Amino acid sequence: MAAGVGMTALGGVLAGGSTSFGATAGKVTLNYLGRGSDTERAMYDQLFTMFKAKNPNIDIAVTWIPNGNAVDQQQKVLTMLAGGTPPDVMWNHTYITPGLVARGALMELGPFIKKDNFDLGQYLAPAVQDFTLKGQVYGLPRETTAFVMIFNRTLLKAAGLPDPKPGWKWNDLLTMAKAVTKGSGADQVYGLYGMTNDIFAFTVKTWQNGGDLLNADRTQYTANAKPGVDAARFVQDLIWTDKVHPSLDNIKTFGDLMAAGKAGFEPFYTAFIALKDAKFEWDVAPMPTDGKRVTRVASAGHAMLKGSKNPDEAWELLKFLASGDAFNAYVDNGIIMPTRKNNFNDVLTKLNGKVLVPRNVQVIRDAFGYGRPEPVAGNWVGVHSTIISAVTNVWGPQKMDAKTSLDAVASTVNDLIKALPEAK
Amino acid sequence: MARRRWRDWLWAYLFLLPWALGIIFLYGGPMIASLFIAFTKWDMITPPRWVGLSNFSQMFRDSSFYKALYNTGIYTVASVPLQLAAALLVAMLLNQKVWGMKVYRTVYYLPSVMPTVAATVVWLFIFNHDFGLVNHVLAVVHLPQPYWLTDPAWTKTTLVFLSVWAMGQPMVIFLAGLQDVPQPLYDAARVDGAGTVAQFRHVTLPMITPTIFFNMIMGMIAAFQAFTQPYVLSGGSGDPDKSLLFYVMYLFNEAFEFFNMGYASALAWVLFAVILILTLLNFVLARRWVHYEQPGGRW
Repeated sequence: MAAGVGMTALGGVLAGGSTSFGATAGKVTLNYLGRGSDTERAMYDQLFTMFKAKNPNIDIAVTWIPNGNAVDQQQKVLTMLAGGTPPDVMWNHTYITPGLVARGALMELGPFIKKDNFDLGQYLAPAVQDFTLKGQVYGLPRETTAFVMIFNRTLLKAAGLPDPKPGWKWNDLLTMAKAVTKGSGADQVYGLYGMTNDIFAFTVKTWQNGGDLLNADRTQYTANAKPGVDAARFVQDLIWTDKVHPSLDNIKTFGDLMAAGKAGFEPFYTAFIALKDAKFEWDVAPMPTDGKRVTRVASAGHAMLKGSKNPDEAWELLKFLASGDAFNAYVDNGIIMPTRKNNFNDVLTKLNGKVLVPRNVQVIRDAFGYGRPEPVAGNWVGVHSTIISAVTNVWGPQKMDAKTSLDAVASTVNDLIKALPEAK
Repeated sequence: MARRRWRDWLWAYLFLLPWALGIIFLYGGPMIASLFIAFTKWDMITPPRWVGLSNFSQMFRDSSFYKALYNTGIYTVASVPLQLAAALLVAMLLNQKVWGMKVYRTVYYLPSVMPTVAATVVWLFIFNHDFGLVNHVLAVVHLPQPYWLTDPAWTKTTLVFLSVWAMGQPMVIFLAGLQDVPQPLYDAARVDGAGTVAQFRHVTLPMITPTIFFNMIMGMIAAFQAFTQPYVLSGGSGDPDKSLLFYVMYLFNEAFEFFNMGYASALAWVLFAVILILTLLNFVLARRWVHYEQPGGRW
């Protein structure tokens, strides 16, 4: 391990910064860093072919992280930066943008936007905000997701239950979940699943309770205040008192119970690829709430690296990846919540039935209206994993007191926020 | 004679050369670099900043460091002797002259060649609280059924079981060691009236002490570097309650999740020092209990 760390470091020290990528007379090669499934990779290859047809003097070399997520992407780009070989353009996500900006890795797009009079208004506003820090734009959005409640209509019908009604409350969900929960052993069906996946549902419940993970100016951890503590206890009760939610043990063993048709409800963001082969009827409802109407919105997109030696060409690629042509490809390939308004409306109206769009699509349209991003600050990936550890102790068989557990990580989270202070 | 010795020396070093070059260029350079980084604060992008010994002094104030060290230490103390005992027992069984022995040997070695991630996923089912085989057996004999995977009081025990199960490598080495014990020693012991237990205690054990010592050292080093199983079991977090936060996992997270490369390098060097000290200590203690058949056969 020491050797690996050292080699990367030595590379960075010796390289002393970024390098150019195959810039030859008249011909420029851009390096693109992406991640995702083989299907997504094929889609990008198709897009790059289209781009090269329009820009014959620009080649694109692709570095791809198979099935990678935002954390993998951050690790890869930081390693490339340390090695002095940053990509010119990369796929980017809400979580990792502040950290990369704080490290001076991302290019501020304001001058390019101004030069081309590029219209940011063509995208959904929350998604543009996700890539805007201190008034500076650091990326163009691709898709966005809102947190909603997926439900298995087949299971609900079998339990004699109707769809959730607008304005439903957590107690309504609990009543329905109890009615759906049945069986035992490996065949058990749970009323509710997914409240413990990451801290998404916990965060939304905390917001609904009037709290937040951090204070308003994102300088102090506040998830250990009453709203957060109540949210953690609520999930603990779902597992151990109400018994409508699987234990962490069973989740670890059996994985995605919603996709397996063994869960009535699952709070999840609006990417439904896991339900592609579902053998049951499913749909979405808004997150239930007893208080404030709010949900989580997060976005992915593309960004340019400061280290690019060909920023003008990189901007052309970035614009192309945010163009109507590219968005049509995204939609055709199942990225169903495009942030470009025209394509977004296409998905919500014309494409319903052709791609993975639920019947209650208006629920999603509404969610983008009242949703908000997480209070991303500092090392947000680290903040996430630290809070996950705290709530896992509450939800696991040790049933640690929520206040004690959330208090215990306060100093760690505060340090992580300060780790990259300019990232707010 | 001198010329012959010189030629032998030349051949010996020629054969050692690839290994030596590998050490110098593939390990030596990065190790020197990581030693330098251990005295810096470095996030992989901004230039490293010299901070002297502060990464090392930070460890004294870092509760996660103590937790990782404790978890790894407990696991090492529990898993190494158990794995050695199980491996020796199985090796002795596999050292019998019974029909189909090659099949048995293959079967017992198989866990060692199984991909660790795949094997760990299988164990997730076996140790599941509600449906797992282990708790099913415990229920039949009316014993408490713990949450092996998610209760911090039990998670390390689960890992120890997994390490004992994957005992193929020390088992094969024990098997070779057992087959090296000269038959005349057993014959002489039998003539002197020694039974099976006495033969094991007074012939087998003393004769295989070099093998036990080798397996113990290798097992200890591997246990201190345990990564994949706790990583898969805890999803990389070390949870529940950091009970599965092992030292190398902590080092990895500091390096590649939090990008504290200086601190991660310091952690790596401390681990190196701990393993080195314990290994040397074992070598010193081994003088009291490891017996070599040939004079000069010591290290």
